[in-house]
Amino acid sequence: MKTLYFFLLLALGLLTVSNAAAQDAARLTVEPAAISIGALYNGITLTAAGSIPEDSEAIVRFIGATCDLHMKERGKVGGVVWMNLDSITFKGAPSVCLVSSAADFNGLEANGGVSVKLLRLSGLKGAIQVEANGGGHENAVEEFLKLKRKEGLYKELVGNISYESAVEGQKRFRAQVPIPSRLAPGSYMVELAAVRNGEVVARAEQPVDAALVGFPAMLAALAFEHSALYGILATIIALLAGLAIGLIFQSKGAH
Amino acid sequence: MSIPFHLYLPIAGNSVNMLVILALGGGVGLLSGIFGVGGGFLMTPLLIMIGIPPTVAAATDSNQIVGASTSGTLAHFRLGNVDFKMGMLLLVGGVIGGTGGVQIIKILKQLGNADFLINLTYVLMLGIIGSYMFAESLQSMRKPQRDVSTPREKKESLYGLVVRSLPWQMDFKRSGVRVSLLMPLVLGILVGILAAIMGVGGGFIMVPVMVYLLRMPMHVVVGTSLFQILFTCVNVTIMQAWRNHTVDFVLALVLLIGSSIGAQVGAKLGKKLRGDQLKILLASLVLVVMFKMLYELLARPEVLLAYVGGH
Repeated sequence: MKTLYFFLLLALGLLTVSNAAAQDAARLTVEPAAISIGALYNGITLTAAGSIPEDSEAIVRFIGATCDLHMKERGKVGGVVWMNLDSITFKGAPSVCLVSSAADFNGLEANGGVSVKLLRLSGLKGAIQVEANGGGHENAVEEFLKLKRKEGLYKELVGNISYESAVEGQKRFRAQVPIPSRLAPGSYMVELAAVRNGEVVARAEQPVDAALVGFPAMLAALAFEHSALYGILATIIALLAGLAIGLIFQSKGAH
Repeated sequence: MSIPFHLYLPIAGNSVNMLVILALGGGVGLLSGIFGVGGGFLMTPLLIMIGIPPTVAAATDSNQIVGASTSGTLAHFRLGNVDFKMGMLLLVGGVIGGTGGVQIIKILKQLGNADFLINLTYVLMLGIIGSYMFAESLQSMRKPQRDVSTPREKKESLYGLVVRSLPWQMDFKRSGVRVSLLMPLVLGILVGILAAIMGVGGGFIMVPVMVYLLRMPMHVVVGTSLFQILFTCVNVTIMQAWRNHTVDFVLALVLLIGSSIGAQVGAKLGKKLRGDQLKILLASLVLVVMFKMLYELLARPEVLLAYVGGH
């Protein structure tokens, strides 16, 4: 009889754990699954939808691949003029980082835990490495984040995630993420983090590829693979266009 | 309210509003047609302002100047304002000077002070040329108009004597001047060096050089300058596309449509203006750009980082 009780308790325990695990799962789908950059591309709205545990908040990140960025630091020369001075390289910085949440990030962070902070733009400070000669580069990463924010490539968005009522411990969400027009072709990742009390309780991610299509793809292939021909063609077309416009004006002037 | 007509630029890696680009091209082309300057010193900063990477902005601008100066040269050629002989000599000098200037920039970059010297050269050149042209034009506008058929005899300056004593004197009929072959060649070399250091076509330096040092009439200066800029920019466009992949042809073509039309209107408008009026307008423009650059040198930038490649 004791053995029977033991197995019953074990089964109940496993069921509870598996139910809790199911409740702490996160699901994510992304629409469109790939971004086509055609001639008339001017940014798109990417929809990330799925489900998270009902007592958690969704944080959705659209993030680009990391690369090395070579830049110049600006400083004062002779206490008077601002000039480009030291060369500086930023390593491990994503090309794009858009972080979305339904609730205010500071509020989520105030609940305790450090995970939310790591998911925010300020969390990139620890991930980005600086390579430069000499000292005095303490504010370099802060300036880098400022530059990327100015370009619209790093952004924190609040209120672009909506929820539906919870079913069996899970609530559905829908995030509308505005993808910038200044997007380079490449591989991107949509990351979902379900956050409870400032800690991530479930994660999911979906890759999204951005690729040039149509005329931009053709032009980029010519410019990078047959660059001398591209330069000569660009010059000839500019010459002919200038002549054509000149002749149009001449004929108009004749009448 | 944004106008929903955008075009994605594959080399610049950004989407731009076509109407904004057309307007930019038209505005700068108008100035190009009036004054005979390529407009690179205005267009490149404007393109950077709308989000085009600095290296792409500078190279693409050269591409559009090819078209704009073709259209402008044609318009001025029809008006009889192009001195081909003078233009060719300045061009040969410009190519030699430009090649030397590129080497100077390489050495300056190795020394680590290239950007500072480039900016300082800009401010000094723009300041000196702009102030001199402005003062001189203002003076000539204030003077009562004299009968052009009976010019007053002037005592020849030391500069005039030196220029007259140089060997290989030749007539430039279109410009109505007689100077040594060496003059346009040497001046072309000097402008070529400065243009290469400053990363521009050099029109805004060449125009005052032709007016004050070669003493060519203003209307011939404008046409001849455009003719010379055309060849300089053909060379730059091909080199930039081939070596650096920084020419965005789509952007250049849209800019070109605006700037070619602007250049035609400008050439006609320029013909209606007197020489001193043209000079004072160009001087004002040069001084505005100089003050803008000076402000950028002295004011704290919004972000203390810059991409490698832009000045």
